[in-house]
Amino acid sequence: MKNILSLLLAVAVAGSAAAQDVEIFRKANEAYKAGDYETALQGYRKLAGSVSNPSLFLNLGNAAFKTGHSGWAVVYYERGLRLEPRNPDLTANLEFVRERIVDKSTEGTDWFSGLVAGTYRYLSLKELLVLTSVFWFQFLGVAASLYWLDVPLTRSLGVLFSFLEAPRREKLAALLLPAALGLVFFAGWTGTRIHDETIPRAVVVEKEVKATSGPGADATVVFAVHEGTKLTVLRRSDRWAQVSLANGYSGWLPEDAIEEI
Amino acid sequence: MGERAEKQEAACASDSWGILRQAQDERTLGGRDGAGSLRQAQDERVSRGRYGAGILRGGWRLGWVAALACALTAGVVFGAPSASIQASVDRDTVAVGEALLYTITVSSQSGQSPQPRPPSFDGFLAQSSGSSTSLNMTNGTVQLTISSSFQLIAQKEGTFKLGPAELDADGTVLKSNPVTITVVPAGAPPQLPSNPPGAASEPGEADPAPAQGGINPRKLFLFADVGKKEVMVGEPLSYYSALLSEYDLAECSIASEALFTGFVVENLDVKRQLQPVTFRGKHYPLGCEVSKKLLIPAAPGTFTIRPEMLRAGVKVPNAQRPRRRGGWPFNDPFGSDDPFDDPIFDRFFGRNFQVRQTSVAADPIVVKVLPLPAAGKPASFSGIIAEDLTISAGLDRKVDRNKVQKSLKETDALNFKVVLSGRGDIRALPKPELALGDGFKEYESKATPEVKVDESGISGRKTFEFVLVPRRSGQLTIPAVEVTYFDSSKRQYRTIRSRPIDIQVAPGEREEALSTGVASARKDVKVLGTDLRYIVESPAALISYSEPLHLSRAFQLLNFLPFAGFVGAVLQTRRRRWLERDPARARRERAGKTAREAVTRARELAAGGSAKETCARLEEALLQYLWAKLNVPANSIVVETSDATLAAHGVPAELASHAKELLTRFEMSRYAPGALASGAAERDVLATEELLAELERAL
Repeated sequence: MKNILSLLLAVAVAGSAAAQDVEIFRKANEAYKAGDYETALQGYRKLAGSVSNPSLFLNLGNAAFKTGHSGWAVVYYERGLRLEPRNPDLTANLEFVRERIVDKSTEGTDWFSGLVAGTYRYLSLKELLVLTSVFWFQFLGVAASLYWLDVPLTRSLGVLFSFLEAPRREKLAALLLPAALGLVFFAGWTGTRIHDETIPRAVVVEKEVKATSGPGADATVVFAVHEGTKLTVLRRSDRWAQVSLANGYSGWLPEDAIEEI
Repeated sequence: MGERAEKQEAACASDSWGILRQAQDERTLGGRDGAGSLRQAQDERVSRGRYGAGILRGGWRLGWVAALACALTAGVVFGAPSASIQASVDRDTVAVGEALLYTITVSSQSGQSPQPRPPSFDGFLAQSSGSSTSLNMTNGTVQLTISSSFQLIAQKEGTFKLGPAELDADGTVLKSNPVTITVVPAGAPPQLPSNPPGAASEPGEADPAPAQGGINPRKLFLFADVGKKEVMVGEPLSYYSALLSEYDLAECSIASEALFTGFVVENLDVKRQLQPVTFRGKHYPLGCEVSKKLLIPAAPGTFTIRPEMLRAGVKVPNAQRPRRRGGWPFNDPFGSDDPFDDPIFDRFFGRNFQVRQTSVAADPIVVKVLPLPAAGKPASFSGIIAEDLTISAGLDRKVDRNKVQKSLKETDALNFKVVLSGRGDIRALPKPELALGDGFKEYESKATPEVKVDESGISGRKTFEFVLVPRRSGQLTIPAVEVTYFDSSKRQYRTIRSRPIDIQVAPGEREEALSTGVASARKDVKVLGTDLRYIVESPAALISYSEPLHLSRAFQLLNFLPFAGFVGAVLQTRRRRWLERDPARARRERAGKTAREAVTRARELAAGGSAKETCARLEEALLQYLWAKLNVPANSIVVETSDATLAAHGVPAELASHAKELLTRFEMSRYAPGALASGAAERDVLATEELLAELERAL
């Protein structure tokens, strides 16, 4: 009985929390439509603590840009794209904001780099994991079946060239090599993406900030970056973060000046 | 004396003669004849040099005589004016844009070749037409005549007085007569040349006085003519010019090109090759085509065509001269001891002619260009003048109604071709207008002319290709195409028409744009501004995405399953193979399971009341179990000695005794089934199960 009551209470709390979120969301939308972008931004931010959704990040990015915080807009759009890389609204809005960033993009702008980057990030991490699992299942299932049927695993290559002539029980071996290749490919891709997402990336959220040669305001200023510029965080020390740009520039910025994606 | 003076004068003039010849040689020479004439001129110069050298070698005793002769001659020569200069024009009235020939003639008796200075040619565009030289000896006087010609093209109307040309001679400046030229507006009747240089344009006329050193203009002339002297605007006419000569020519070149003011000129191929020709029934040793052109008058009016002016080097035979006799043994003080001084040697060394330069020109040709008649000129006149123009029109597919009905649909594109053929400047034909109405939409067109230009005119055809798309289905008609032109042969306007073409169009896929007639107005959407894409208002935005999948326990467990399955399959396969290699062990492993299955079947039989069969089955199960477990041959266990056999294989004595007891009872039931108590079958099944369990533990 006690368990049932606890369960019912949890459901009720969850339900009321969901209703509260819906109300907050509705009010934030109303504020946005009315042009009160600051109020809308606050409402969306309140929801972002518990909700991780690409559409919410889209709204956050829009409200941030409208209130003059293009850096935060980039952060929110990037977070949304991590969840849904092919979201057209997020992509378009990120591009729109990037065109208005002071610092010129230092990432590869040639068509090949763009093609590679676009392909690399075309699938979300979840999609890559699912594909990897599919090939993992296929590979192990075929291998186990072949082992059970006493078919040498090395026959998988030969069967591909003489599939029609191969005995019936050996035809299954034809699936092994493609499964292995698919597994290697997607596992590698997935592993790279997982590793990539562990690398902390951040965006400058202040209008202009000067990077120094070391942690501390009295170090030598080496370069200046502006709001919206994307950079990689190498390490942190004493409320300073060492960052690097795509062009190789490296320096230290105050942690408050950047926001991790 | 005169003759001697002449000889000595010739000797003193040898150098100047050589210089003059050099200058002549260095002028433009064309073709092989020109090169040959240069060699001839050089030979003459060399031969003349030897001649002069021979005089000087005549010995010292003649030197004082020669000096005296020169002094006397000089007194004669320098006592009178040694040079004169005169200016002349071939006509003194020209129209704007027309040309005239201004000639400065310098006569010199000093044997020198002074160069005149021409006056300023303000109001004219001047171009040098070269110069000619002739040498004349009359009554012991040698006169050198140099004519320098300039072609002047009038630039503006008015009366222009060309100042005197000047000449420096003997320390004085000689001036020619001034020349007044009247320039009238363009189109005014021109004045024919009063003294055409070189030749008459038509043989058979009264021979003019030979000009420039005795060259008969009837024996060397330029023939130039056009086909018609009266044409309509745009009507082509052909121009032809040819050089005809009864003289032997050393060289020939074009001094100035022809002028065709008021005409569009199309150059035709011409073969410039001096060769014997027959012209109007008369044979000429040398002749060649100079130019052939097709002229198209651009505007009405009267225009003058000025033919080319040529420069020709005519080979004139030398006069016969007596052999000079001199020196020992003839003792002639005025003779020469040059052993080669004899006319026979002149021919041997090619010294029997001289080359005289002369200008060869023809009279200007006046052409009257008539405007097209205004009366009867239709509004649809295309502006083309042609002859025998024809029109044909057709489609790129058959228009047979039955066939087209199947293949031609709305929005299918048609290639409609209109071909116009005839004589005249077909290239200028404009695109004919297609009165398509609401039946078709014309999208694009292209024009392809194919013409041939020759001395007979321009002929050929021009093809217009249109892309038509039906606007609707049903019976449609491409109307006749009309073209109006001016027939130059019939001197009237003519309208030619093609035949209309009927087409049946089947209904096809319609696009809204076609029905509203804006298909041709499609254009790319123009971006007027950019902004952020709008927010998402759906509450679905509150559905939180799950944690990263690779961190999910369920996902990890799920992916562990195939690995576990693979490991299980490997282990099971290895066990199977191991068992397959040891059949006795395989039997031993399976014995317990097999016996339990048999006992289960025996229980069913017992429940069915079949005691005898139950016992039989139980006995079989027990025996097979013992055979498999003990790995003994089948049927090797006898009931009577079963306990000893089992004990020998390590079965505990109690179990062996119990097994014997059961086997004995089972055997009895086979032979005396009635002796079994009721319910004994069930008890036997239970006993067998217990025994098997104990044996499993023991073995």
